[in-house]
Amino acid sequence: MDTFKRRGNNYIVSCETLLQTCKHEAKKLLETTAASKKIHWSHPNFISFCLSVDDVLSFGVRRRYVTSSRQPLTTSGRVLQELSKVFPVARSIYQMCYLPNTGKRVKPEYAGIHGDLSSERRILWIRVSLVERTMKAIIDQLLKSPELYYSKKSVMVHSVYSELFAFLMEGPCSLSFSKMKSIDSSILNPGPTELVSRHSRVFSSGVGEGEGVAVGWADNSGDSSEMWEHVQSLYQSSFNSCIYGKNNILMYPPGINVPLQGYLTLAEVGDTFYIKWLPNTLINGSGIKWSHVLSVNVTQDIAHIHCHHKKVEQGVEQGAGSEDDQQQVLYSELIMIGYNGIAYPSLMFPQSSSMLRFLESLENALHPRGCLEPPLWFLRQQHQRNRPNSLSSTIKKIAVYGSTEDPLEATPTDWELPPVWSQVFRVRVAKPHPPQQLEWTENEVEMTSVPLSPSPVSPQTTASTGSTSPLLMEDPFSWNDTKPHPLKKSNSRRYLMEKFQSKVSSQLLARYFYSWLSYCRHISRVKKSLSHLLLPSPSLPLSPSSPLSPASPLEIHLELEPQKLDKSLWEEFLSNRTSDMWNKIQKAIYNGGVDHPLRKEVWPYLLGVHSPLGDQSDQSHTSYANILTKWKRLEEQHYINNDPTSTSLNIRRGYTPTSTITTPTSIKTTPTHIEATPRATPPKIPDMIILEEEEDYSHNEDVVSSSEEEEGEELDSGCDDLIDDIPRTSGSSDGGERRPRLLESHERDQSEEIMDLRSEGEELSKREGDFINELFKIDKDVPRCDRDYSFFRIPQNLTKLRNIITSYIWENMSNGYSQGMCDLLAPLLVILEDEEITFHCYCSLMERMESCFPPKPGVTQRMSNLQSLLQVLESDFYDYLNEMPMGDALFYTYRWFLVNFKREFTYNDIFLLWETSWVARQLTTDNFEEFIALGLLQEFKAPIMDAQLDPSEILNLFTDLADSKNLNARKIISTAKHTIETLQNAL
Amino acid sequence: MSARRKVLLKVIILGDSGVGKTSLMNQYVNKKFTSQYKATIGADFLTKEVMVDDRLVTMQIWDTAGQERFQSLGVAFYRGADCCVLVYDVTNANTFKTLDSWRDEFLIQASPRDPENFPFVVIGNKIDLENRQVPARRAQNWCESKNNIPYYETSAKEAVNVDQAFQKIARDALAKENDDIYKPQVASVPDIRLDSNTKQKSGKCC
Repeated sequence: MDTFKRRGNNYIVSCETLLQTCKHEAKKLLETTAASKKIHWSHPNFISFCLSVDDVLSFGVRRRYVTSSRQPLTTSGRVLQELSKVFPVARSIYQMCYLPNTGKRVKPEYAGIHGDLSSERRILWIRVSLVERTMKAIIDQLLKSPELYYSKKSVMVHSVYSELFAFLMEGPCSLSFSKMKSIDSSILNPGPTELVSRHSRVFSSGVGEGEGVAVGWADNSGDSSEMWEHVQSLYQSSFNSCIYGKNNILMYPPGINVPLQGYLTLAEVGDTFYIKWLPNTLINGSGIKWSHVLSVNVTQDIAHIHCHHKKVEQGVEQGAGSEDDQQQVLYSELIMIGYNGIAYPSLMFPQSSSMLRFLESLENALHPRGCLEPPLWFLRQQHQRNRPNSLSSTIKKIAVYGSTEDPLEATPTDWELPPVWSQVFRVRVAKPHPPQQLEWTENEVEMTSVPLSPSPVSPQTTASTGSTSPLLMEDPFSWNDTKPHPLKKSNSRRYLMEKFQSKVSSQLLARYFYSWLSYCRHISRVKKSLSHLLLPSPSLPLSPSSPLSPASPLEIHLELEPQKLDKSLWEEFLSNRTSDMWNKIQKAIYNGGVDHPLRKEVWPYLLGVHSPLGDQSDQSHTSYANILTKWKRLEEQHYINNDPTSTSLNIRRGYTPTSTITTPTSIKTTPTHIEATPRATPPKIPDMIILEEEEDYSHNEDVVSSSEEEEGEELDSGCDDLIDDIPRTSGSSDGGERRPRLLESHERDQSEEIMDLRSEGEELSKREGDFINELFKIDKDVPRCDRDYSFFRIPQNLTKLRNIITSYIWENMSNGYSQGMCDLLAPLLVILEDEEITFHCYCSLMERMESCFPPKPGVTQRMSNLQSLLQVLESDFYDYLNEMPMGDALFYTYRWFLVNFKREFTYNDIFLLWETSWVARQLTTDNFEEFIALGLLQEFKAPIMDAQLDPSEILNLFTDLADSKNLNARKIISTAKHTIETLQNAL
Repeated sequence: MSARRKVLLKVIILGDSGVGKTSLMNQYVNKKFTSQYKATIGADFLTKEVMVDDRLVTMQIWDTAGQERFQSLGVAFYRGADCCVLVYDVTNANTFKTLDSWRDEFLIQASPRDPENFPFVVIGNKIDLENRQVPARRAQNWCESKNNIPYYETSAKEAVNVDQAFQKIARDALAKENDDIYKPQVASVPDIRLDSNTKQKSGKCC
């Protein structure tokens, strides 16, 4: 009998699965009864256990004992029948179950046991034998000779499984079962009699034993099911979970002037909550009528709860009949008011704390589907504000509690209500079928239950403080197991899950809300920081002072904007120098740059050296000549002074110069423009240095040798080193003095030279000393400036470069020379060629750029602007960069900003880029460079992110691109312009 | 020992402007020399894969700006360095004098775990030029006084001694890297010092 039909499903049954099921059912049964050791014999767990036992006993029965479903005996019953022939215990069971009319031993309790259900019939004898605790004996008997009844495949024949099965019977056989009752009362509902008697056993007050009580009120009972419910509500039963319970609560039942003491419970039945009150007299069986019982459905009937303090004259009628002296006692009164406006009888709590606990329990029970308004924590906060001295109040509370007669009340709560106090709570509940109530959708409940500050009333708080009722929910899952009814169990578990889910979802919601909020704040802050990158009004004409300027931006936009500045437009401007025209010129340049031949003419205007609307003054011209004169005189002086020293130094060191070539060309090339200066010919040595360095790496050697040869006539450029020595050692150089002094031992051989030089160094003013120091740095860099570009292979041009940069430094000694300054000058010189105008343009350019040279923070500022731009416009790339291990993710932009992209692009691109950025400063943004940088990053964002490049690799990428001149400047400029436009629209 | 792990060695080249840092790096990595180099702005680096004791390592050689006012940028580049190369120009005494401050500056900014034993290598460049100002003896003395820093004299232009110097740099950097991995605690036991001492002595040349 490998397969058989059961519950409509065909499936293979093996000994293992049968025994497994049986074991599982036995476990469930024992768990159910773990607390009470007592179970009703119609309990579903018991029924299912019996079924599983029947399955085992029916499996593998020898063919001759197998019965069909039409026969009165089941297969296992047939086995019992056979066994009863040899075993008296089995016989008595058999007779009890199947021969009720003949057997004398039939107990009256089993009268209705047969039932109509086939399952009940099936397990009849098993059930009875378990209740009679004879099952173990029967099984043991069976196992003495199982082969008589069972085939080899059965559990009973199996050497191990049969033993296990027998052991499984042991536990259930030790249980005590509720006795049978008549068939007409619901088999699953123990009657009020039984429940009350149970109560009497538990809370026996000495009055009224079981039978007496039953007689006492059974006569008065009108509706037994209602009574049953009431009594049931007092317990943690399979039908309800008692959330709160408290004895000695006073109530004025309708029609009675004296308050009665009773037992108040808050019970959860299914999806609803009931507040119930049973008078002590009823429980004790003193003959109070059922009509005094209070039962209120919280979720449906109560609209408001009114709480206040009330003085009650003590001496109420006690259940036990004791009577106190007339005495005024402060009670906390709780009145429930229904939707129809009718007040329920008021409940009086002897302690305000117990009322608060009741309210807390109620609030917790309602959560998440409902709540009290205002919430209790609000009340608590209010109370705490009123009573800041919590310590003294706690002490007082302890003192108060210490004197109470109820030991359960002796635990102080977190807080206590003031003596004069009144509060109305509104009960809000979301209901599936709300006829007359506010409708809440589930989401609304969640939204409103999101506490902006954590609510102090959480289940944990209640559990920790709620010592009033031993039934108070402590851990939702611990009491879950004590409810044996499967339907109820699943219901409550579902409900708990819902509770849990809603709690989690509200927390998530809160978290999302806050992150969203901070994101919004962040974005608005970033937008603020970005808006300063753009000019307030993009189309604002150049000079607002001009009367013509208020030409409406709209008009300008309507005009067809020129796409670049060409000759005709420029001539138009020269003949008509108005601000409108200048504005048009700027727009043309912004759109497409300047025609290359015009640049020489236009740039001084763009850089503000020439005023676009007026004439330029000659002031600047003369000043440049003066500057040149001044520093050249100083330089000459310096070289003359140092010449003999340098020679002597070289000699003293035993340095023998090899007489190699000098370069006569350098001497011939005297720059013509310098002749214009009042003071005559400056020394030409630098030219020579430049030339030679250009040609030959070993220029120093040549220069030194030449100086040795032409001693006295030509200035010694080998005194590089000397020039170097003087400022550094004389203590007048700016930056070099930060460095620690060298070890004396290493300097000994130099100290003499230093002493020699110091006297001369002191003659120089500080400014001059600094200047000589700067000159040395300049001379180091000028020859290195763009040696690969043909323009700078021409010596005169390098001379011009040197003159201009030195003049600039002379004028701005506080800044000093910094690497990169040459790079900024070079494109200007290439375009303008004329030394003087280039100088003025350079000064103008440097006004803006000098802030970028360290130690000034210009570059850092630009980097942070770029960060902001990235964050708003390329947030994914921003995140990518910030995830990189190296902290400073944008350090490769340092060079970009320091020299205005000079190193990244070709000369032609630089011309375009620079002139665009100059006009952009007037038209759209002061920070065009940042947008170019953004454009560069955007251009290579995809490959960078694809290849997961880290910042140093990004640096490498851009350096390579710059070296190979592979950057498309026009595209990047147009990207930048587009970004600016987008941002303007957004802001 | 996971000796086959791929190793990246970060090497920083420091020294005054114009001493030939960019030239040295390019000579070592690209085997070429040009007189067209511009003053370095910010920083740049090149990588080269080399075999050190049958172990393949990637050297990331960082070339920095020589002007002292750019030193404040250093932190970003110095971080995680395995070896620091100090370069001076043998024809310019001043560039030698400033080695001290370059070294100090590096130790302050990079703040390596064990500054006493952090691997440095000193290179005197431009020995192809004749107007030499810093005698080798003087440089060697200085290196010995600084916990025996290995010293090399090179010509980036003529590729003299460049490879040898960088081999030594790679070896020391690798030793330091291994130290970092296998002795993560600050406790630098004497045997390490001993170890590095012997290495440095053997590494001396010229």
